[in-house]
Amino acid sequence: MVPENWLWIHIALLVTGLMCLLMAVISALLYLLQSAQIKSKHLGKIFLKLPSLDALDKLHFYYLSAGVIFFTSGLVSGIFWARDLKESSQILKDPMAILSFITCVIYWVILSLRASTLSRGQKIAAGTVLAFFLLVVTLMSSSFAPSGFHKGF
Amino acid sequence: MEILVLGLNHKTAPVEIREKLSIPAHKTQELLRTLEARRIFKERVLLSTCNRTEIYGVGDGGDEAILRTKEFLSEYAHLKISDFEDKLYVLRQPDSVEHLFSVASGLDSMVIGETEIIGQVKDAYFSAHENRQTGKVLNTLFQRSFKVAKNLRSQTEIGSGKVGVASVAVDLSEKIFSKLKGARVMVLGTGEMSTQVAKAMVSRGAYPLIVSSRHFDRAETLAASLGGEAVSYDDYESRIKDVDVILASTLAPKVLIHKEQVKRWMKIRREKPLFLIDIAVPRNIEAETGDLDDVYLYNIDDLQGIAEKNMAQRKSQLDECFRLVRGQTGHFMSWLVKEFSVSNEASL
Repeated sequence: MVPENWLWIHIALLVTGLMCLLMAVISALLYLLQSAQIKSKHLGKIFLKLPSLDALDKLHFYYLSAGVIFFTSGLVSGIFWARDLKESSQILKDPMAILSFITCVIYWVILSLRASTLSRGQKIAAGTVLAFFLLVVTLMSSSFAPSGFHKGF
Repeated sequence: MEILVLGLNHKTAPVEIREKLSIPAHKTQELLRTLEARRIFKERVLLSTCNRTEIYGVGDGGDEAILRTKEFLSEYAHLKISDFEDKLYVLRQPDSVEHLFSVASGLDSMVIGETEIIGQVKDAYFSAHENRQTGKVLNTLFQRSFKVAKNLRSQTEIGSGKVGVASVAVDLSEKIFSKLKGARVMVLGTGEMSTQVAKAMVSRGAYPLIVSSRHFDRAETLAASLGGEAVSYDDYESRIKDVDVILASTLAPKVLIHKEQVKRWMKIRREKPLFLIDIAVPRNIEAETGDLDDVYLYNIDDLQGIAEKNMAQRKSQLDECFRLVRGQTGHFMSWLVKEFSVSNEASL
């Protein structure tokens, strides 16, 4: 496959993954908001308008699963792209790539805990919010990186 | 021709009078025919609920029709007219129209904004309609009343939030577990309030209950009446893994469920959310338990507080509701005047 094709696959998978992870963090934040409303015992209009915790948890899980799978596939396609460019060794010198792998591992840990039901509810929702924060830092890292593939993206 | 309503309700008459004038559904047909045979009104609908008995009529008789209706009620209830006359309201149009719109919308109910009444008004109307006791005026009036009730619920917050302790608990459960269908409720203790809440949860589809009490025979009776199984009090902790809601209402004078205990349960449950409802006084569940992640703890005052807040919210909507009802009454009266002036001209 020509390297350019890998680049488009890499971008398409990552954009899809990021959209799913954005939806996952929104549903996680709504979960935490609804949970806080119920715990506070002061049920406002938000309580009535928001779906149940169970529904938000399921929504969060679906988006998280899809997001992690697309995001991982996006990273793998990036490796293939670098390989075709004969630049594989540069990956470990790229801050954005390294942060992406770390974020990806964290997302897999969260997803594994939720899928195995070892943990769920507030802790997993909070975990998704923190992981998304790291993802934002990862995306912004290209602007500050002194070197690497993604510099300036 | 005018629209009249004669009736009494929980605001005007004590239960001793209301129960005598109450009309069971199976007698409605017969009584409507009696009214027709006696030529009391041209069109008529009988509405009878546990809190009200009302006769809606359309006719030309005026005072004569009112007197004959009172005689009919006196005969039916085996009461002298003087025994209930001062508790009876007689409303003429447009007040009678406004009254029906208010009744159908739940504004005149004991529990403001309740929805059961609209079903009862519909039943009363359909019963009269099937027996050919209604004509153009009452058909239009009652159908309009259903629309008014629907509009009020969508345009105001008259029906927002639940106003009973049991229904608040059910509402909260459904905000945690989506549907109670699939959720399992454990009842600790067999008090009246916990029975009420458990009943409300079962009626919304909760799995068969697990009932536990120090008095095993009482647990068995409650489990048998609501569907479920009785578990000895010493064994209830072994079933925690299976339950989503715990209703505690034992008479124990001390805390029975401690924070550390629930922390252990949450590990066994793999942090699946747990809804604890403590209806006991003194409380059965340590208050700090509610600080744990994914544990939602409500006591009787919390539930009562939400019910009262919702009721206050509904009451705050009354002015707006009555304004809308008056507007709709005006529209209906315009239709009535127009319709009957055209009919009269045509008959001339």
